[in-house]
Amino acid sequence: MNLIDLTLTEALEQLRTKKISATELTRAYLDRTKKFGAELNCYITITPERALADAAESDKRYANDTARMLEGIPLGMKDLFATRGIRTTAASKILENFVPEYESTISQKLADAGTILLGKTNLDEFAMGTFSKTSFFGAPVNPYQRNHKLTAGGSSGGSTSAVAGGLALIATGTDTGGSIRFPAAITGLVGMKPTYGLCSRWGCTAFASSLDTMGQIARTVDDATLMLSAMAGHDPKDSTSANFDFKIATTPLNLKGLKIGIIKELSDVKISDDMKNLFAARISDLKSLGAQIIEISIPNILDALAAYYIIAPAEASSNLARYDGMRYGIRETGHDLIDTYMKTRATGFGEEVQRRMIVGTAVLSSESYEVYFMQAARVRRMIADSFNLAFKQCDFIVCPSSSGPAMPLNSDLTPLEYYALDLFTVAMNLVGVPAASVPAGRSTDGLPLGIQVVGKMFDDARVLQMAKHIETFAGLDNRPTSVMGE
Amino acid sequence: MAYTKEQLQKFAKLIRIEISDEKLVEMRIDSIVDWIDKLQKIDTTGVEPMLTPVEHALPLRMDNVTDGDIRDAVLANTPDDSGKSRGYFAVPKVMDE
Repeated sequence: MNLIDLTLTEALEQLRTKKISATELTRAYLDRTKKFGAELNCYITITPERALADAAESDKRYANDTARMLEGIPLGMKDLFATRGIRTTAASKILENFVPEYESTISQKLADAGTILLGKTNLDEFAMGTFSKTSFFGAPVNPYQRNHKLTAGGSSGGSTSAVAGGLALIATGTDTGGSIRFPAAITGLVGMKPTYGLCSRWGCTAFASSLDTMGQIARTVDDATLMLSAMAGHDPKDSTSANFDFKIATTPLNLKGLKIGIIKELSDVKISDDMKNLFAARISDLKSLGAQIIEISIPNILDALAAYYIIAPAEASSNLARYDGMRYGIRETGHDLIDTYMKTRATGFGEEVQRRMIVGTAVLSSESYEVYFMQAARVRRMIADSFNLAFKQCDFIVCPSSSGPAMPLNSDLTPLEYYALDLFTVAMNLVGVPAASVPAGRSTDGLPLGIQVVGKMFDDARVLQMAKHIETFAGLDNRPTSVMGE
Repeated sequence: MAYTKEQLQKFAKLIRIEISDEKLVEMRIDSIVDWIDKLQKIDTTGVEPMLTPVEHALPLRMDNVTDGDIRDAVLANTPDDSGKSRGYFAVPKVMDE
């Protein structure tokens, strides 16, 4: 079997039993990155020397029985996480040459668990986008049907392109409005937005602080579960991180007597026939295991998108104020200080980032604050209350991850049409609940589609257990060599 | 609520972004504002605004310095390193003669 096709769980088993070495595994990934990296454009920066040095260290640890939880596992790190001594760009020109002197908590935890960093993955600039097209470094490409040049999604599109194509075994992502779940769904992967507060945000470039959620992208639910257990945990450096002990569930979830809610208001949303059919098929699969399907109501869920596109830009416009060209990042000299700021930020930020900052500033302006920002915050509360109420009636909520499969990168959509792609994912960020996208099957033309499992706050372990049932029924073959060849 | 070109320019200036009127039009900010206006129709009387999903108590710590002595690290990425050796950020002049 090709080393690239091993799942995280399988690779760890082979490493532990010394059937393969971490160096062999890492080399296989580096070779594949050499072969397909430029075409997929999934990495902004690669770190092969460091990877091989770390792999040698992992092999030592396997030899002397000090191997850690994810020892020797090749990892892609979304280029939003600060990595000490390794360029961290947020896919923005303004940070093109920024080399952090500190390490984000999540990347540190994954390093402490023994992972091997292969490089920093591509994304939408400051994670703002759904196709990863706003990246200063060009868009990553979906490994499925490469000749069609489809999007790998966004904003964590470099991470999904890398994992789906076999250029990383697992990868980190961040999800502010769907940026892990949407790209994972259209690349045949498992992608999770854990409960807000489960994983530390410290050291990850801030976009919208009350929505930003660090999460994981992997090929299987078991892999995603293992990865999350290495990432979760309280961090004194992030006051919003929770003191919650994430524990992997060891037995399969018995669905008998469990209630799964279907959101009534989403039933009228136009989705592709394939998505509709796959969703119905997986629901009836879950029924066959004894789950009870009930209809629940989130009356304002279709307003979540507009509330999100007020709150997220508002928070972004204040978070991005720090990029002034004085202490780090690029500086464009103007005729005075103000002019230097104006030129630096006009040159350093791309169009979508500028658009959102202007919208964010507009909705926070004194004449609009009540009308837009506070109204959106009240709608957010109403949506959260509806989710709480729904979770009194059901254990999980299940819904599509997207309306359809990956679209061509050269699709010419208006800003609003791009925003609409987040329809199925933003509400969970507003509310904070955990949600995992899991492969549901393939569309008639062979492209993967995903379903989301949504749970109560901090019910992440059971969300993954439920996702595992869907994964088993879907039986999607997402081995990288079958997705895009040897 | 529609914003005039002058208002949008004011916002751009507030966040220190130099932008032409033509570019502002191309950005179609009006289409976004039109669309978010739909929230106005929702009756939110008596609803408490939600600013964070955090429900757990935020931990407190003693107000002690927990880092420090990292001057060189703080200065490491400065775009103009002419002040670096003396421990300063070099920035454009902010006062007149």
